[in-house]
Amino acid sequence: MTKETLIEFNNVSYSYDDEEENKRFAVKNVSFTVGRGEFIAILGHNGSGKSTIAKLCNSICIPTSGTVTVGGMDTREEENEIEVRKKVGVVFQNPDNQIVASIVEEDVAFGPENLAVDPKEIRIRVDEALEAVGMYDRRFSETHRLSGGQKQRVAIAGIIAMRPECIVLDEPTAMLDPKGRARVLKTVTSLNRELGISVVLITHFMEEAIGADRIMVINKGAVKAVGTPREIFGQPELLKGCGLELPDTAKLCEKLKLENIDIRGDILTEDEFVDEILKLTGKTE
Amino acid sequence: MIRDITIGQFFPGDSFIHKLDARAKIVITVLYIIALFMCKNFFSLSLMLLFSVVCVFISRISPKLIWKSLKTIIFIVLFTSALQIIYNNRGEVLWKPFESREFAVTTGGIYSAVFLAVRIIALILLSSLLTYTTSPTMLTDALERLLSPLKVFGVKVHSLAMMMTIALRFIPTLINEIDIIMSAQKARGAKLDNGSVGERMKAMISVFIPLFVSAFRRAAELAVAMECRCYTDGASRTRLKVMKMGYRDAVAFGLLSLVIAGALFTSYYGFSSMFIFEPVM
Amino acid sequence: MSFIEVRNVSFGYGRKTPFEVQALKDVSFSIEKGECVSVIGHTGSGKSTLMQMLNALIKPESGEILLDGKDINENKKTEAAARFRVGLCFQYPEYQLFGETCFEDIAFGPKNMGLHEDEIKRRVSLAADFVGLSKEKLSASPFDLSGGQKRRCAIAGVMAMLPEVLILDEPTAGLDPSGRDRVLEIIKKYRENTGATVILVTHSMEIAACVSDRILVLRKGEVACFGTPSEIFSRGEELIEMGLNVPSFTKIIIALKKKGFDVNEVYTIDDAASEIKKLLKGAGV
Repeated sequence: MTKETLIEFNNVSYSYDDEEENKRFAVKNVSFTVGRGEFIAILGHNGSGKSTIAKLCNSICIPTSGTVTVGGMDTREEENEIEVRKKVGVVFQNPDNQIVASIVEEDVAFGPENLAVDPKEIRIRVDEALEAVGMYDRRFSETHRLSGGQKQRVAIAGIIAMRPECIVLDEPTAMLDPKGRARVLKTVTSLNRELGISVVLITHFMEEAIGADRIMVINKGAVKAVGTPREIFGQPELLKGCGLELPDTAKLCEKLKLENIDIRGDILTEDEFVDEILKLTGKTE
Repeated sequence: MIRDITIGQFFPGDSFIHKLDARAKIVITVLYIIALFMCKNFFSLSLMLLFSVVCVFISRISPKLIWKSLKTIIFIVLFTSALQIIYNNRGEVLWKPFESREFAVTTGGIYSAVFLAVRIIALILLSSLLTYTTSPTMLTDALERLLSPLKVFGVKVHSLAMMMTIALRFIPTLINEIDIIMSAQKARGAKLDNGSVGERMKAMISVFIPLFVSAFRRAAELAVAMECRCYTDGASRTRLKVMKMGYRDAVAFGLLSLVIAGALFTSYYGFSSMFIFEPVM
Repeated sequence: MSFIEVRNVSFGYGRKTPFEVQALKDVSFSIEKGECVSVIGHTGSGKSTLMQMLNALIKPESGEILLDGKDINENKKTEAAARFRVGLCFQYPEYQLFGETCFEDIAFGPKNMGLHEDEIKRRVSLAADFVGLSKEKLSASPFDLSGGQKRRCAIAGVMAMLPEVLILDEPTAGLDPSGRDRVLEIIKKYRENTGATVILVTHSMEIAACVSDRILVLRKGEVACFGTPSEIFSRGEELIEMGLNVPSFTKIIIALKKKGFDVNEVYTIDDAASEIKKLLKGAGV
């Protein structure tokens, strides 16, 4: 990666004391970087320490050991707190619990208001952010009347309005139905591709990671593998060992391989699969 | 069904009333309520009622919604009216159930019953119009500004306003949640609506504990989410919507002053000999 | 006469407000005893309303629901009986836990049924056995359990009533692959042991295909189709048009068909693999 580094985790551990006062590591010796404009997916099953990584990115959690830097700023320094949060916004799983105001546009304005942005500028940012997530038409709606997917898009707009350089999403689709999930994912992808915002997508849905530049697999708080989606999906055993499941298409390839059929192991999408079959049967158009 | 509640809701629009400054609306409502209690006769009261009816008309809020908010207080209206009829013994006696004048139905009683009912209705009309036409955030912002002189006495006006914003935001969410929890526990046979009082109380525990657990979880998550959006103490926050008093507010205050002046004049001069009565409070 | 009969049922929310929603429109279908039926549809398709009607929590505005030939809404008595004969487990049921111990929570339903203490104990341990909660967990507070355990404890609370019809609304929502498989296993176990009729509300066509005898597809409050998995999946393109979350392998099969290959519609990934294998063998690969 030659891209300029935005977030850097350097040998980060995060531990807390459980009821018997034993040290429990939520995150252990994790190192990785997020480049400017990059799209990284972090995969792990529930309780693998993914959520703690999200909170470590913008100094909600401070590492027990190791360092996290955002744009060169150490997140442990209290005076960096606001600057760090301006650069890295976090969206959480439950959309209901991150919406502060009763009206869509007023909620999106919450972040810029906290940053003491000039009202005229807030107006511009709110409108832009709502356009970016496709919720401009609903700007006067009451937040509690929106569907889960719409609420989550409003929550994303609330972060976008702060003009961050990176947006971290902690299982943003876990509570949504398929339609809402697809729409949120599309929104996230377009923020990355069109606005050049770095994205860290934390999820346990493998198919959501297909569009990422890089995937990092986490298990029990430690990094198990890093690579492109093709590299990662080519290792079904490793993924299963981490409590994850291959996307359907990759699963199908794996099954065919077990039947001694010579098919590419790194197929990601349905179209690629159909093309491969056409190639194998010599029916290419 | 609990979900059908509309009190405290905001119905967006672009009428004259919607466009008024929220501070102006609050002050107007307060002045109006004070004036209502200074009215002494039906002339002044009708004038005041006319004012709120006209306001409702201008706001283009559907009369059905207004009727809904009135329906919820109809019991209070009937109750106070009944008290007046029973305990107010001034004027001519119309019906005497007992020997003494006590508890008798009198003209004075009926006058004051109607008078009080109209007064409460006028009060509810204008104050529900305030919440229907003003977004909760604007309302709390306005309150924050109106109350800001209290900062001198060390009152954390901003924090109070933020608490109110969040409370208003979460009321519908929590109402919905109560609805779901109640249904879920009823599905497990909880006697929430068909048991004895004791059984119902016991069943309510199965609703309140999950509700509190969930409310605390929501609060904790919301606090983190607010921190992520750079919320600190809020002292230096700016606002999306700048509050500015304009010609509309001047017009509204002007109209209100005229109505109040008219009401007070008819109450204390000229018409004072007609329909005199003093409701028993 | 079928075990459950839904006849011309209609229902709407928020009548006479600007937010009126017609949840169900003239819905009719029937389910046989011991059958496992999956109900699929978008959020807002009326699934949840319909499920709450099946155990008399919501009364239909018109139409009737017959259980074992009798109208469940006839009077208070039949309503109360329906609540116990038809067990309904809501979405995210762990948010309804309240007992001091898991035992107490699971015993809530049986207690409300007015059962004898010994019988309550028997049922709690039976239900705990179904969901795989250990003895020591039964005396622990439900709030100290992990996410997956909480979900299972809550499901046990419904199973302890030993309902003849078990309805689960999105029982796998928010779970990772291993948690999801565990819950599906539990449902299978309950069905095998009690012979109960099971109705499963889900967004996942895969889950519906692999666990149920028949699939009911709801669209905008109406029955779009109702049939065996192979009948439903043979209408693959229609399902995609409805915006349902059709599995990748179905999409692949449809695409291959369009390319002129002779493949059959399938509804499990194994069948898809063997279809494609057949296809490749036929082409001499």
